Amino acid sequence: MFLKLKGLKKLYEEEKGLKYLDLEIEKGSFVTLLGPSGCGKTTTLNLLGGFIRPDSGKIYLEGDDITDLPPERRPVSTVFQSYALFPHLNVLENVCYGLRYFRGMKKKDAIPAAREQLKIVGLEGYEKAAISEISGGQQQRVALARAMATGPKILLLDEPLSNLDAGLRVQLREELKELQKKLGITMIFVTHDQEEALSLSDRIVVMEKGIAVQVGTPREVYYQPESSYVASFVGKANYVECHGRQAVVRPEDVWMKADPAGPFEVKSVSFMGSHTLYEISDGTRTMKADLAGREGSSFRTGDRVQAGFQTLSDVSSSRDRNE
Amino acid sequence: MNRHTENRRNLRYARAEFADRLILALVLAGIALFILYPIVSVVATSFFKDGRFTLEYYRELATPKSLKLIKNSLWVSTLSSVFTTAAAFFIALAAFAESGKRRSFIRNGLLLTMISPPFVSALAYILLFGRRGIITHQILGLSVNPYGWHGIVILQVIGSVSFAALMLLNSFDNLDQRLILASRDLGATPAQTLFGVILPLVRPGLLSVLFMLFTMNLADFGTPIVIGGNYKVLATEAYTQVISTANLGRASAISVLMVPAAALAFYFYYRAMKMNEGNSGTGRAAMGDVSAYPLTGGVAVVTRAVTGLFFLVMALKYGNIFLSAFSNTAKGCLDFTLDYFGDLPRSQWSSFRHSLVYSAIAAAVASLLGILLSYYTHRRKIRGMRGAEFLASLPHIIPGTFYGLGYVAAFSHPPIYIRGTSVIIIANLIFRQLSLTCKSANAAFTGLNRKLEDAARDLGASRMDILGGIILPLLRQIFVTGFISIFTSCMTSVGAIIFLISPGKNVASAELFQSIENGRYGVASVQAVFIILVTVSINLVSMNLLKRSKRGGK
Repeated sequence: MFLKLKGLKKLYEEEKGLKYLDLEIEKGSFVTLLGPSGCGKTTTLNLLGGFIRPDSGKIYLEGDDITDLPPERRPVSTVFQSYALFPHLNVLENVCYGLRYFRGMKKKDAIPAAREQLKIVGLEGYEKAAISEISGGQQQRVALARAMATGPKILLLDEPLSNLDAGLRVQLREELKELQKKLGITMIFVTHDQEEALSLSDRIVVMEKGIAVQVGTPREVYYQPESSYVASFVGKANYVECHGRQAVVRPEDVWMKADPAGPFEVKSVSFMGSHTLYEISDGTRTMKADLAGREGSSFRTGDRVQAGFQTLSDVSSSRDRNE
Repeated sequence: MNRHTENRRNLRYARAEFADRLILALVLAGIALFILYPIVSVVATSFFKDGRFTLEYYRELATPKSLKLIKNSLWVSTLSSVFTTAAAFFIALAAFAESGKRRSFIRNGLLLTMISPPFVSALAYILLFGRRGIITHQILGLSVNPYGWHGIVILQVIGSVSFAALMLLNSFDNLDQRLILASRDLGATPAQTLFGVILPLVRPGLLSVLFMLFTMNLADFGTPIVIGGNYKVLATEAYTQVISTANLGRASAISVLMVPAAALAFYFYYRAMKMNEGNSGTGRAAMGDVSAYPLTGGVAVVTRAVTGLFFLVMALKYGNIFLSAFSNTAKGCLDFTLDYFGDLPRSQWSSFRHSLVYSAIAAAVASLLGILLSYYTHRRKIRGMRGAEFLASLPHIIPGTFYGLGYVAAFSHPPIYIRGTSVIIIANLIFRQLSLTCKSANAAFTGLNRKLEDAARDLGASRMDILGGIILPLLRQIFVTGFISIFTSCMTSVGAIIFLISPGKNVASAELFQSIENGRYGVASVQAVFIILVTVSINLVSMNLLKRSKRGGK
């Protein structure tokens, strides 16, 4: 196995941090650590980057134990959350930094290599620009180029898109995915944004309170959540009783039909543009519905409707800690 | 990566780790040797006579004569500190609340009037208001006696008001401006906002300034000597004990007596710092140059009157020094003269050179050390460094006489016998000011992304690469501003230094003090003018360099 985390533990005060993590990651894959703040995902990333030492457990990269290797000697590079670009150096000097120190290159060799990296991320012509002069999206690309320039075996990304506005975030998401495919580099990505995780990853590690609660492909995590925690963190969920077991119904799998004699009443409407969110109730239970398009936006608060759901996905109750 | 580069890199990291430890050890050793050891020495000297423990020196302080000195000291210091703090509050308020040109005029004026060689106010005061003063005698035809406690109070107020106002201005600038806007929005009058919102919020700063001034005034022996006449205070007693009778034990005991006030100052100072850490004031960026608290009504009248008076006094003070350096009033009218230049003591130029060299070295080393201390304490969070930082801030807060005596007590005998050398003077200047850059570096570090060092390490940089290539370049501005203010204060301070100079190792500020003591006011004015001009020009040059490098660096 390319990267193997074994029984990794790093706890801080108040139970924060990482309780226990076993994880194996294949070469060239894109893995996302997903969870709310305080779930241990950033701790995991810092352990991988070598910025902190684990209380116990081991990290193996291509069979070598790298647990005690400091960051300056680890073949792992990080794109930091707010980029941590050196404000007193220009774009080119930032990208040269790792080439000179990590790769031990002479300045005259480092410059063309750095230019090459800037070309890959589409920043030709910005070599001499000061960090404060370029936009957030461009800073994000410089951070990416700087980390890639050291030729890392693994690239760690700590919420790299969270400082960007919505439109740019989607665009850079696409670019990142393309770059990863093109270069075939192993990437480990940390986010609390489920949409980002679903659209980018080969595999998602959903974390809760310092533990990985589910590891799987985006489809597996979305359609076969192993706990109600996973179900509600990755997307929205309705919980229904079905043959004596609890099951998850995604709101977009709920259908509604206008019917003055229908059992449900529309309680609230949130128009989102491309889709509309409803809350409907039959007096005993409440359900969320998510209908697409113009037709799906036609219901009003107080309307009586018929409703049902098409598909079910089981939540294995044995692993359900939240109930 | 081949084996050769790998080996070279490992060696580099090992060497950098070693250098890192070495620098840390040097910083700690410096603090222990030049701060802790002298302080301990003073306390020890006050309790030991001929190698035996004794309370004799303290018992001597309980005699009626000494009690009178203590009473005098408390009376004068209390009055001076209260008046100074009150005046400084309104001047700082003006600097904070005015906008546009007036605002920058007041701020620059405060910075400029910080450059005040010792006793320049005393000199101006005697020349203007003395028995034969230009204003009291020649214009008003009076003959008043300027000497006595009221003279001391007036001069201490004038001498420290710029410093106090700048300290307070810092508290004002750290206020969350939105609180003031909210108070106005909720219908409070300017006076209600001032007393209900602004004053409570800057109170820790106000108290810390008050007690710091109290400590400074308590330790001030120069002003009472020059203007006190027969009015004696504790600090003058300590000074004469050392200079004329070499009675270190008694002087040490007197200095120790001054410590409680300093401790209080320290307590409030630390609380003020903590408050500042807590609320990061929002700059006025969103409001342009408009003040959140425009001056109106009664508040405006009082504030502007105090500020106007301040600038009038400063104009008189500096104008008079320049005037009296080039004129002779003995005949009852102003005659232009260059005589005083001829009367300068022969040691003048060598003292001046010493001052420049000592101050420059001390300012550079102290700025660098301060940044390093802050780096190891707050950036690397090395265990126990907070204690070292605390020790480093002591010389700034304990009375100057105490600290100067400490060097006499510690370094006049083996194992470290360096009294009479330049080293002792430079060391004293360095460690007295260490905490200044340390504090501004602390503030700068909170504004720097913590991940920067992680990023550098991630990219293969060693400890030394980070220190030299990231930390120091980013704190360049802190270094230069620290250099300027430490240089200025070294050029113009006399407190601790006076105990350490020796023939052949004199400095310009002490030479000035000696001229005034001997009543050679014309010569003293020339010396003061030199100190002012050189210090101001070095200030201006450094500030311009800083501005240019900021522009060029982009």
